[in-house]
Amino acid sequence: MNDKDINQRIKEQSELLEIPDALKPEQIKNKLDEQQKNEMPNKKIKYYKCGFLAAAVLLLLIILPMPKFSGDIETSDTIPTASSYKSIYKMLSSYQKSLMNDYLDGGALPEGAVAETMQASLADTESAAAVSSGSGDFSQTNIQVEGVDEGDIIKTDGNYIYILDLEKQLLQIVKAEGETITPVSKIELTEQKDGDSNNQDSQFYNYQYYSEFYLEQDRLLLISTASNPIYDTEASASGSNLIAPYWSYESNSTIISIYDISDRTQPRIIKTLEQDGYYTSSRKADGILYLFSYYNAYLEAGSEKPELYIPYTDGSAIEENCIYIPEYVNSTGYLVITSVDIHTPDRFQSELAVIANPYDYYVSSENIYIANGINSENSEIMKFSYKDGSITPIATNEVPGITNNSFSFDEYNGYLRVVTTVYGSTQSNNLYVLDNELNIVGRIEDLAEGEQIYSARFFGDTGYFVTFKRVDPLFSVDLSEPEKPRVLGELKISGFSSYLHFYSENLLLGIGYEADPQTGRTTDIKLSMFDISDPSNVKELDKQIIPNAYYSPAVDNHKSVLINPQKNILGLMFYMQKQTNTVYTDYRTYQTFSYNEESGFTQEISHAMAPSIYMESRGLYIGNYLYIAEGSSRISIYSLTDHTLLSEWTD
Amino acid sequence: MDEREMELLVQKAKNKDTEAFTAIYKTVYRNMYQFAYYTLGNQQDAEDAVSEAVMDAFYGLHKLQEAKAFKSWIFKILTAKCKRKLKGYLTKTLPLNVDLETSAVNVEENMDVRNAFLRLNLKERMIISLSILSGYKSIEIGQILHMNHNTVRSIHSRALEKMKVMLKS
Repeated sequence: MNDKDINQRIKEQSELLEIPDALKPEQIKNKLDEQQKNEMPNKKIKYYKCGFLAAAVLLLLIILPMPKFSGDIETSDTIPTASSYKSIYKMLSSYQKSLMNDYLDGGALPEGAVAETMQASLADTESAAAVSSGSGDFSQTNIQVEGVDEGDIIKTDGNYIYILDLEKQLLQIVKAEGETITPVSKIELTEQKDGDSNNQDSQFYNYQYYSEFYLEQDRLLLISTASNPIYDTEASASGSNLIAPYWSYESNSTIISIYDISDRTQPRIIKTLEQDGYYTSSRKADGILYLFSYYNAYLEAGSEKPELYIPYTDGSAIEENCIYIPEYVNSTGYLVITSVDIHTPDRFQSELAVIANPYDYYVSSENIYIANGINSENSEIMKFSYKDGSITPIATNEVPGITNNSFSFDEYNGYLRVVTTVYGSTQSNNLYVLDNELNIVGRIEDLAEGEQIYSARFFGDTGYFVTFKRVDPLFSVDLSEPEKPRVLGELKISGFSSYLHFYSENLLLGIGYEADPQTGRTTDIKLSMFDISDPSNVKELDKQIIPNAYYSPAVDNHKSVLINPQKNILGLMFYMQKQTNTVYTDYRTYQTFSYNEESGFTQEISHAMAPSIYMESRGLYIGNYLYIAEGSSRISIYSLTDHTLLSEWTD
Repeated sequence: MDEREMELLVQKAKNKDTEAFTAIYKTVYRNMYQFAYYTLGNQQDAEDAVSEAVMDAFYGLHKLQEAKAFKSWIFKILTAKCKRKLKGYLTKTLPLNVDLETSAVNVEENMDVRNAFLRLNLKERMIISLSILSGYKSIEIGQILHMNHNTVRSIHSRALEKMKVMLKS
């Protein structure tokens, strides 16, 4: 059976669904007639009027001719800032007007709102100390760029394990000493913000959901997105005074809650900072948090209400000269970027907004790169430097195609290498080398027609990426001359890797799927080890197929992978299904592997996980103990020496 | 119904002509209900979502600028309705989400496509419904659900894989 068959069968099945009588057209008509009789038009809609903009200027005509820049870069490819809020309004609304049919509902796919203008406060420069401390030998979140930390839901500092449990709505801190787990404290999280309990819709626009957290010495930073309903202050006291019904405009803010955890038994919240927009991504480097959110403007209320279309941070609007307008206005929303000094978090250190439709975020040890979607065939790449928390636009340029994820980017010696897939009538794949002002200096185009990129990883002068349709070519590319990148080799094997990790100088690990080379249909999860000692002749040394495993979070979330080649440990979770006679059983396991070139992969620990619905899990190690945390409900402790189960803690 | 006819009906419906509105509704209501049902996995909630979306559409029709976009427009309203209900599910953990539980299902008895579909998790159902029943592309689904289009794509293919496993017999 292929995907088309399934689609067909779903369609056919759905045709058989019986439609409830209440939804039959006659009934609906009666209901509408009834309502029409009883009441005047719904109060929800009286606030706005359609056709508020007379001049439907086509997009792009109003780019402000003022590349005013805070930096000293003179390239013309920098992004101009806005001259006034009203000019921004004009631009956003003319874009909205020009939007295609799909987006006619008055704006607002996304949400959000951020802003504030701040002087940078002097960071204490000692904070740049290494992330690790504690007993030294413990696992870190599996990150892309060394020194650039990424948030996650479970982390350890070598003494304690911190678990953000979204099901139980709490952040649990436990002490981990060998095989003993001692609960230390809990931070209770509320999902429902206070709302108008009389209004039954209130649950829809008063919520707060948590994404992930960071640890920085004695600080814990928790990131969440909250609804931020906008009320019409002029509306009468009766009825809902939401400025727009929740389905037509959803406003959010991203909240960073900073806890002092110097006393682990009593985490103490010391600061909350809020920026408009829902949370999209973040990074932490040298004691500073960089936070990205997406804020959608609400234009229906007109240009006189900048609070509805200009993002705020910490209660004040981002200033005009910190709002950037790219050449292509492709969105009615903004990417909002802020930085916070974790050690002196009294306010945002730096903030800016760009009108954009951001979809991928890559942060090197010096710069932030954002992929801004123009359409399904082109992206704009925007570059910002972030030295010491001060975010400065550097350059922007367009490249054909769409990136796969942050691993599609890599900065090396001042050059950005990026791989993209062009989705069009025929798909194809490209690699570009951009200089430090984002001029394209080298390129390889039209690789693997009809396929798309599933993973990429770069190592100095060599890049590797995987495309797939029926078989998996693993491409290796020589990047030693940025102007002349060239394909070195193309290894075709069955299946494909959707995550790549350098296991040693000569070994590249791939995690992905096995697939039928005839049909391209994926079967079970597969681990592959590639010999990359000669990049022009890459070989698959070993592969390990995990029977019955139809999915692993590792294939699309690198942070769920426990990996340390020095310790020779790889840990990941599998979703499995087995069939006995006519009965299928679903189950999940956490397994660890070691690898050596003689014997290949060796499975060492296989842990049966508790049946549960949405529980996110991670494996961590401290010294020679492996901790498998299933949410905060159960932690199973294994010996990494003899791989036996030592003890289990349940809450 | 051709474009001109549609335009006319939308024009009338904007002036609160319920007859005209019903005529348009007739063209989409099956798909709407199917979509809501497959997304929410619950008849009552699906019915509520559709009926709320229809009411909102009727009263908010003046915001629709191009008649031919009616379908995708009303689906967006419906998606928002479903999302809201889903958010409620997520906090309350309804018994509906059996997909990842260790659960044994007798294939012969009831393993048809619909059941397989309902054993997917909420996100997967939502994405599949959006793509199959209302024809959105992964980039558009990503925008509607506030997800990276790649995540949409991978969840989509994972969900189809799961269904294949469940349906192979």
